[in-house]
Amino acid sequence: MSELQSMIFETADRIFADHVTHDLIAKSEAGEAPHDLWRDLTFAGLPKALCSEAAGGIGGTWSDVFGIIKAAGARAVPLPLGEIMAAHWLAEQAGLAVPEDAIAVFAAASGPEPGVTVQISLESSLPTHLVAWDEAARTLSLAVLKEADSPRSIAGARQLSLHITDQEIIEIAPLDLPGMSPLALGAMLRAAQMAGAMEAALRLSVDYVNERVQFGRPIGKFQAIQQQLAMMSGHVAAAARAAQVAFETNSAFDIACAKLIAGEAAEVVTDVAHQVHGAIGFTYEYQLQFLTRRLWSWGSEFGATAYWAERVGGATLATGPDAVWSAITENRLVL
Amino acid sequence: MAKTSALMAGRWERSSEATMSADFFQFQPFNLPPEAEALRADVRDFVARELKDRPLSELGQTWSGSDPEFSRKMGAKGWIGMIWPKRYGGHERSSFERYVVLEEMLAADAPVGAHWVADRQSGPLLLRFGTEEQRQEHLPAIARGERFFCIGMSEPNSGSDLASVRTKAERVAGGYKVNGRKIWTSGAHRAHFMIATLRTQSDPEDRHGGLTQFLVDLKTPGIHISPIEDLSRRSHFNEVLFEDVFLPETARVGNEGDGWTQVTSELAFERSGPERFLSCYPLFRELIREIGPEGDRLQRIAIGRLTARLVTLRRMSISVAGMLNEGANPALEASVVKDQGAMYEQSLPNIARALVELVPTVEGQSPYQEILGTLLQAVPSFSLRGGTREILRGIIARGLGLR
Ligand SMILES: Cc1cc2nc3c(=O)[nH]c(=O)nc-3n(C[C@H](O)[C@H](O)[C@H](O)COP(=O)(O)OP(=O)(O)OC[C@H]3O[C@@H](n4cnc5c(N)ncnc54)[C@H](O)[C@@H]3O)c2cc1C
Repeated sequence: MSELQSMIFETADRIFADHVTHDLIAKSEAGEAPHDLWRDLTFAGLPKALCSEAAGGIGGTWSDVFGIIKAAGARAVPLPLGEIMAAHWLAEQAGLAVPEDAIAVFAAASGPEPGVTVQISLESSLPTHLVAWDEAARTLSLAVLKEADSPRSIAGARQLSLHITDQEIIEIAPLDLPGMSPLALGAMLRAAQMAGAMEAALRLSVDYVNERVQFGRPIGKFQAIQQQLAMMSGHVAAAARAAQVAFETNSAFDIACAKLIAGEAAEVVTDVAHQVHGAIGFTYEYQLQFLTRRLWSWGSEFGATAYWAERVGGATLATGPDAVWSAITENRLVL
Repeated sequence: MAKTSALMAGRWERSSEATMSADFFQFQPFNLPPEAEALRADVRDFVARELKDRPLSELGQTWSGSDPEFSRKMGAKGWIGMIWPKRYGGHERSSFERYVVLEEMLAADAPVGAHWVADRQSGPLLLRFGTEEQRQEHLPAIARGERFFCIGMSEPNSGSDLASVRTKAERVAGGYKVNGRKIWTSGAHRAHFMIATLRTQSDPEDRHGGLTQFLVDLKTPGIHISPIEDLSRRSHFNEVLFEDVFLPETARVGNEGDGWTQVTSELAFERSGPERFLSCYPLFRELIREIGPEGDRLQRIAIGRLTARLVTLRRMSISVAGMLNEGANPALEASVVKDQGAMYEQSLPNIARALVELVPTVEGQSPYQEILGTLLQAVPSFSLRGGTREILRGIIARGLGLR
């Protein structure tokens, strides 16, 4: 990690550790906003971590904040920090001014028709504004986020499906980011959060099996348990590496791979982590569920595993049998 | 719930702190440097030239396929012993440059099997533990692609439990007398030498301390090599019988009793390379050809999953190479890549069969069917050779702090 990376990571992680308790997550899932957590994150300048110093930011890159987004996933931080960072990042590039007291989240409009529905998965009732990136129209719209009656995901996040035209639009600006798309940006965030949640589920599982005693010894001493966790840890490592690459290159292809690898890994991780925990892992009171419910939900957000697999597969087939290898080694596979 | 609360108190905070501060694995973000990439075009030209018009029956074997002439040509190119010192015939290149050569050879399905073991593990073993004489004698010949090695670890009653080897090396005047049997020895029938792990002391209390490694000239009287047909009737591996075989003192590698430590360091090399996920690449390529440029939705999804896994495994493997290059010991990470790589490769033939309905063949017509036929029969061995799936996961479990 570079100096900047470790500085902002440590700041963020300390704030997470101070605030994010079982109680806080439970309250957030019930609709209460984590104001104190937000205040400290804002005070540390993290929402604008990706903005230039001229725009009041820290001047970080996506690679610089990878550890933070991953840690937010690992701790099930109950507010959409990644989407908030993305909103400020996009706004600066499009020249949109986000009001000082606004809490704006990035939203993806990625349908073929311009100006239509934006999908938001909102982890908290904090956000006040939307920064909607419309791929087809190549615009970025800043709008007031109007409360809408909305279903909740299994991770407790409100699933908003809004017509941007119904919102109180403050400003619209053109935006074109070649090689990036709204859906890919969201998928990149989820891939890192998932990698973090899986690392945390692995750690939780290892700690648990070393403590839980049955048949006179810690269940972690049983080979059946060891083998499952070892296998699972390989998937966790793969997901973490793939997500890190996505944050380094920001290429849609690497993001697609990361999201789909995370989705596949999460299937194994949720299965094994629950298995080795026994009944206690199946309770609300125990923490594993904060991670596994998010993994299930995140896997379906911003393009599910099969969606990204189809895009990657389409790109592979279109490249053709004799060019695929060189395309892989030269990072030339594109979606 | 009172009882469960007590059991869980503080776990969230504690365990998530641990997650942040202590990752289980270190897959550091290495990329191949430009000087390594610069080699690629040359390697591609070479294989395109050398490997055109190969018979179907040779396809899909990657590093099990063997062609001494091809090995000599690679030696002439300076692509064997690449990272060894020049004074031993090496080329003082980086691990990354070697990595590029290896992965290009595997992707091209090149018959690299003759020199593979010598380049990957016997040479490095001699560099670390051999005498100056042994290095001078063998390393330049290996690097020229003229001297081939095999690995004598397994025995009929010693598989995963390698420390139980029984083949005995007894001290006699001027050296040792060897009696016993090695088995599953890949390539023994075309190798010149074997690195054999033998028992020099039979103290049941100290199984590890009684092992010593030897450099065995396979032409020595008393050695009998007989091929074993694998399930597809190919003979890659052998049984090697030792009957009163005399080995001079100079054949010993390292000190008596150091065999266990040496053999474990050798296994780290054995497990870390790109051959642990690229052995099936030719099938992936031909599968793409059979499906065509568009495919249906199911085919695109399945191919996408395979591509993403391949790309990710490669990135993980490159980071292992990077850590090796810096002198770190990524044994744990190497085991993870081998385990994940074997799962990927073992799933590939079955996924291929679900996507394209063509019968796997031997002596077939299309490269796809031929490679599928070869690999369908080969992949069960991928989670056996080089340490079984269960043994690798045991190593990973130890890394997780479970053992
Ligand atoms: C194609 C091929 C090439 C080979 N080439 C070589 C070579 O060149 N040189 C060489 O020395 N050897 C070679 N081997 C041998 C290889 O190293 C052994 O097959 C391997 O170490 C396993 O030993 P085994 O076959 O005796 O199986 P066993 O050790 O008998 O294992 C059988 C099964 O039991 C499991 N098992 C064993 N112990 C445990 C345990 N403690 N806990 C849980 N499960 C356990 C294993 O994982 C496996 O699933 C080769 C093997 C193959 C298939």
